[in-house]
Formats: sequence, C-alpha cells, structure tokens
Amino acid sequence: MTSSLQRNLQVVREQIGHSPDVIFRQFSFCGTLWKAAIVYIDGLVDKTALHEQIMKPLMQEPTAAEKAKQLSDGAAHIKNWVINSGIPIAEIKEAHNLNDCILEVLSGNALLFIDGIDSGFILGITGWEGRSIDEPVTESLVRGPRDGFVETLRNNTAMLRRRIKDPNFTMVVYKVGQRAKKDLAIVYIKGIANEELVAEVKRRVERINIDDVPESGYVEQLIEDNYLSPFPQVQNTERPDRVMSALMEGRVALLLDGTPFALIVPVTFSMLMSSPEDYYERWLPGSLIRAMRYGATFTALFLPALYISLISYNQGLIPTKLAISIAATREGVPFPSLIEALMMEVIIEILREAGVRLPKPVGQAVGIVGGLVIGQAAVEAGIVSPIMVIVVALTAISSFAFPQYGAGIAIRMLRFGMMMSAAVLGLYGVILFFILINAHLVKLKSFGVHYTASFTPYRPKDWKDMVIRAPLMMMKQRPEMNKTQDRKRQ
Amino acid sequence: MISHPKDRITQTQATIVVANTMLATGILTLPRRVLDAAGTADAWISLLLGGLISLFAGYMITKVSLLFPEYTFYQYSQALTGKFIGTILNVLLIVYCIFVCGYVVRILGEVIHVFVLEKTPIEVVIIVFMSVATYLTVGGINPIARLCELFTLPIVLILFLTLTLSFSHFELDNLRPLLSEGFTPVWEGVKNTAFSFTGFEIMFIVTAFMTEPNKAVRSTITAISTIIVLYISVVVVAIGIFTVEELKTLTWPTMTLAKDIEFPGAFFERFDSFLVIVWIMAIYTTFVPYHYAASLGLGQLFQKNMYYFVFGVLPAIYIIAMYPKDLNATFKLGEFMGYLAIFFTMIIPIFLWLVAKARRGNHEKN
Repeated sequence: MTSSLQRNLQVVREQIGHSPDVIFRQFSFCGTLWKAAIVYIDGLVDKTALHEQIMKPLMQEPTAAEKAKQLSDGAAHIKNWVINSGIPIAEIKEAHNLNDCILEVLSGNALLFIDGIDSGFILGITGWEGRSIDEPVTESLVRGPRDGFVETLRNNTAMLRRRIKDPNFTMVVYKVGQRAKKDLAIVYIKGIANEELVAEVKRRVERINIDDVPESGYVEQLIEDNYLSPFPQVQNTERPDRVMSALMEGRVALLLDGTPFALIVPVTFSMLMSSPEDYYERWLPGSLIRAMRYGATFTALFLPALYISLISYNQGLIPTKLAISIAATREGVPFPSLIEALMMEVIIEILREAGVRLPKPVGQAVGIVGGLVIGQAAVEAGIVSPIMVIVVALTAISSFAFPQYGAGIAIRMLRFGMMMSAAVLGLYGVILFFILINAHLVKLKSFGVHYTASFTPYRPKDWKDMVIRAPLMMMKQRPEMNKTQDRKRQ
Repeated sequence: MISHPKDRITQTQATIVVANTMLATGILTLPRRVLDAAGTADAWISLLLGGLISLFAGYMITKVSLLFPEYTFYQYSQALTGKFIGTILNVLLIVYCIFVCGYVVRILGEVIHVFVLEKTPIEVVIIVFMSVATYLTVGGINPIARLCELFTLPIVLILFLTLTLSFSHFELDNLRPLLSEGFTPVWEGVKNTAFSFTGFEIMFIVTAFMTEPNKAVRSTITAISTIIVLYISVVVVAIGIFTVEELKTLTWPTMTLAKDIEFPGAFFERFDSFLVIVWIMAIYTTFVPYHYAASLGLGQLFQKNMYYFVFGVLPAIYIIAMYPKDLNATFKLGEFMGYLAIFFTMIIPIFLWLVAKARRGNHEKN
C-alpha cells in the first residue's frame, strides 16, 4: 500500500481487474484537489448506499477538503474527515494491507482510495439479492414458528439473536475453504455449554482443509467422529427454534454462509427422534406422539424382515388362522419372499427419490399413482402378494415419521440389512442384526458424548425427556448428559 | 495393560453388568437341574441356600478385588501370590472364561436348533453369534456395560410377563408339603445350583474400571440378590405349574412355560418366540463379558494389546463349543463347569483373602 492512488489501483487491477463486474470508479472531489477511486463489485454492493451516502457526500462537500489541502499534514486531516464526517455510513474501516482490501472487495464491500493517503477505506455496504424468510420446506410443523434460515449468515445470526437477548450468546467466526473463504459461525451460550465441547468443536473446524465448502454437509462430514457409521453424528436443521432449544441445552451450533442448514452438535439417538413440536404441545400429546415415533422406528426397521422370516422360516410363530390366510394369498407368487420384499422395497425407494425432484403438483400424483396403481397391478399380475404390499406401505409410512432426514436414511439402509439377515437366518438373523445395531450404537460417540447417552448409563433425571415428555413444571434441569455448566432451567 | 485407560463404568452399570453376566443358560434349565439333584418340591430352598452361598462368595471376590482397586485380577494375583502362582491362577481364570464362553454358546446353538432354526447346522449359528459378539468386545468395557443396560429392560420385562401370564395355572399345592423328605435332598440340590449362580466372578475384573470402587460391594450384592429372586421365582412358578414329576421330563422348562401362555382371542400363539429373542440377548450379555475377561487376561499376561487376543481366543471357544457330541454331553460339560466355578468363586477368593491377610500381618510385624 502506498500513498499513490495509481500504484494502489494498479496492484488491485492486477489481481481482480480482469473481471467485468469489478468496477473502478475514479473521481475527484473538491474540484480537482483530491483524487480518489472506489473499487467495488457490481451485484454485491448496495448501489443506493453507494450513490447517496458515499459518492454524493464526497463530491458535494468541499469545505473541509479545501482546508485540508492547505494544511501541511493534509493527509491525516482528510483521513480524519473521511472517517468522522465525510462519509455517513454505519461501517467503515481503515485497511493497510492490499490483500485484505481485495478480500473485502470480493466479500461485497467497497474500497476507497484517496491519492496521498497510504491506507484504504473499507466501506461496509454489502447488499445482494437473497431469498426472503420462508417456512422451512423440509421441516414443517403443525404448531411452531414458520421462519427458517436463509442463505446469508448475517440474517441467520440475526434470527437467532431475536430469540435470545442474553449477553452470553457467543459467536466465533471462522473462514473455511482455502479458495472459497466462507464464513462459518460457531454459536453457543457461554456459561451453559461445556467448555471442552466448545474447544473440541473449534479444534475440528480449524482442521478443515479443503478448497470449498459449498454446504454445511461438507462441514458435517469433515468434523464427524465416525464416517463409517450409518447414523448421523451431527444434526442439521433449517429451523432457528430448534437451534435455540439446542443451545439452551448446552449444545453448540454451526452456521455456514451460503446454506440455510445449520449444524448442531453433539447428537444422541433420542435427539434424532425428537421434534420441537413435542415441546410446544402439552405434555400428554407430546409424550404419546413421541412414543408413537419410537414405535414407527421399530416398524420401519423390522417389518419387512419379520415378514420374510415369519413367512419363509418360522411359520409356526404366527397364529394359525393368519398363517393360513397368508399362505392362501401367496399362492401362485413365483418369487421367494426375499425377492418379493426386495423388489417392492427398491421400487418404493426409487419412487421416493423420484418424488423429491418432481414439481409439487405432479409429486402428489406420482405418489398415489406409484403406490396404489403399481402395487395393485403387481398383485393382480400375481407377482407379489397383497400382504407384501401392505407391509411395504406400512414401512414406507412409518419411515416418514422421522423428524430428522438423516436418521430416516439410516433406518432405511439398515432395513435392507435386516431383510438380508432374515433371509439367511430367519428370526435368529433378525435378532442378531438388531443386537449388532445396538452394539454399534453403544460404541458410537458424537463429540465425546456417547450416542446412547440418553438411555445409558441410567440417569433418572434425564428420563423425563426420553421416551415420554414430562410436564414443563417437572423439567427443571438441563440434560445431565451434556455436562453443562449451569444446571437449572427454572 | 488396560485396553482403554479411560474406560470407566458407574456403580449402576457395574451392577447391571454383573447381573446380566449371571443371567444366562440357567434361566432355561434351572428348574429341571435343581430338581434332578434335590428330587422334591423343596428344590427352591436349595436354590435359596445356593444363592446365599453365592452372595458370600461374591462379597469375598469383591473384597479381594478392592484390595487393589485400580487393578484387575490378572495384575494383583501376581502381586499377592508371587509370579509363579499368580501366573498359574491367571491362566486358570483365562481357561475358565474360555470354557464358559464355549459352553454358553453351545447351549445357545442347541436352543436355537430346537426352537428357531431346525435345519441350520449349529456351527453356523455359533460362528455368526461369535462374530457379532466380537464386534462389541473390541469396544471395551464401557460399551459392554451400556449394552447390558439397554438390554436389561426387555429381558426383565419378558421374564416378568412369562412368569405372571402363566400364573393362572399355578397351584400352590404342587409345592407342598414343605420339607416332606427332610433336609437331605435340599443339601444335594445345593451342590448342583452352584454353577447356576456363577457370573459374579466378573467382579474380579470390573472393579478396576469403576469410577467409585468403594461402592463395588453394593453392586455385587444387588446384582446377586436380584438374580436369586429371579431364579427362585422361575423355579417356584415352574414347580407350581408343572409339578415335580412332569418337570423332570422337560429339557427346557422355562420355554415350555412360555409356550403354554395363551392370550384370549389368540392374537399371539407363540409367546416363546419373545422368550427366545430375549434369551438370545441375555446369552449375548453373558458371552461378551467373559470373552472380554479372557482377552484382557491374555493381553495382560503377555503384555500385549488385548485386541489380538479377542480374535485369538475365538478358535479355542469354538473348539470347546463343538466338543460335546450332543445335548447330554453338553450338560455333562455344564456339570464340569460347575466344579470349576466352585473353585473360582469360592476357593480362590478365600485363598487370596488369607494370603492378603498374611501379608498384611507380615508387614505389620516388620
């Protein structure tokens, strides 16, 4: 950085001047006394602020500038004038390093050079087009706030700030991605969150060494404990109220600029099963619905496998009348039950995946068409038995009960493993696979917290929020498993 | 060396681990085995006496282990009795653990063969089971304890249901008259019940991992008492429902108990499938701690990482599991285990305790 305007401009031009959206606006104010230039990127800055609050005052306020030219240390005077009275904007910084200046320009700020002054001024006038706040698509609730995060970090942190006015709400911003240099904010509540946990999160974020982080999913995969596990060890959400309740429980959230999906750590199995709605409704419906969700988990995981094992291997375990009627419906089906089940399950998964990408009106129809018509046609063609269709439909519906998409995927994957075990070893295979899943869950850790921490070791105080949800009056303390500093909630 | 130096379990977890390790094959065969020896309906009294003896033995084991709170049996046996005898004791305990693993998994194979998969060779059943068990053993004591905690609820629930739902057939007269043939049959029965209550010798290892070792005695007593109550309930209900004569003819009395449960409306005909499911879980939580104990022992004996031995003992366990030719031979193996168990649960702790006292005495004299 020199005090020569042309030299500075030349350096900046070398680095970013080749792009047509980088604008260099040279002008002079106070007649021709002071030469200046503004560098900005068209599309990233708020042009109105640029016209009204920067160009206008500079070009139309000659008095102080005239005086300064006559003084011996005119440069310092002008600097002082620019910062304190010349440019009426909220954010202005003095920068001495050209690289920092260029980074700021690329981030959406404007850069002001004045001939004769050896520092540049960063004018904070970012203003790009962004999505307005809308209901989160993937996580809609019956009852609860309908605002979801957007892609701009500042808007997201503002949404969190609106929900907590505690001065202990802490934000630490990192730049991740060597080339992309995206802002990643680690938020937590000082005094509640465990210091070790925060330190561990910071450590892992600092270790991220990658070109670009296009979505928080990348961050999730780079900081998780066990990438081989089917279960997610980091929770992601679009809802600020979910982030807020997590912070209140002593967890840590990560917000990445450019994506509405925030990350929450640490995660335990019961957190994947709980939805904010459990808390907004009264305790009885909340508890029952949550218990039902656990039931849905079992159905989604076990039903096809149980069907295969009970039909093919252990027929003696079903009541006789049911066994006979099932046998009657399976008359003429050419495939063994495993192939039948696999076929139907794969078709459902393909349908589900296809349904995600279809536009809304068509998506509904495809669901109905695919489900009913294909199922019905397959039954009438004699390829599958009606019981199989029922089983597959029940399983699919149960798997929609998951409040967390990541957990739902885990259960879907494991369901296939379960079916294979059932096909190989019948009920014994199912039980062993179930034990295997449990053994895996018990070994899994998320940021130092065991995945099954809510169930084991037995902590009666935490049981109020596990399968049932006790009345608010009774939930006086934060979950013990998070080892928070401040225990009391009420 | 300890596999995971920071692996710790709480007092409740220790209780649950011990209780789950004890709850195994006994639950299925106990009523008949006790009757075989006692012969009368007072078999439950022999069970009670056997349980009380086990309580004392468990207490001794815990006390001995607490002399060296941070160390497992394999480490303090040498400190107490010198290198030579200590090493022999270690080897014996390792062999015992391997035998228990083999026996338990063989019983599993037999039960699965009878109740679930009739055509599958027992070898397959056993190998698959051992693979899933190994996955947990390499995790260390903390995941093992957590799994035991997770499984305790279904196991207790189904056992409780089995006992209460069949209660309609219960007739107290089958248990009467009390002590009709005097106390002698009861004493005979006590000898047989010894092996049923084993499992608490895992305390030799567990105290080293507890966060509060001073509460270890409470853990052991709670665990053993719970199992005593459970086993006595099963035997009493079984005798009450089947009568002594019929019971002697049943190989797996508890299963038959479950089979006879009927729901009005016949929604579910075979309740014993639940019992099988839960019993497999119980066997799993018995196999894994013993497997862990054996691998840990070998690791500490040869001063190497125990992970190699987790896999290394598998062939030995398999050989022992497949050694008996049929079910009767397996039960004979079980009797042999009983004698080994008495040696480990009663003779060794008392021996070590006396040695410790003698050493203390020596130190004080000096």
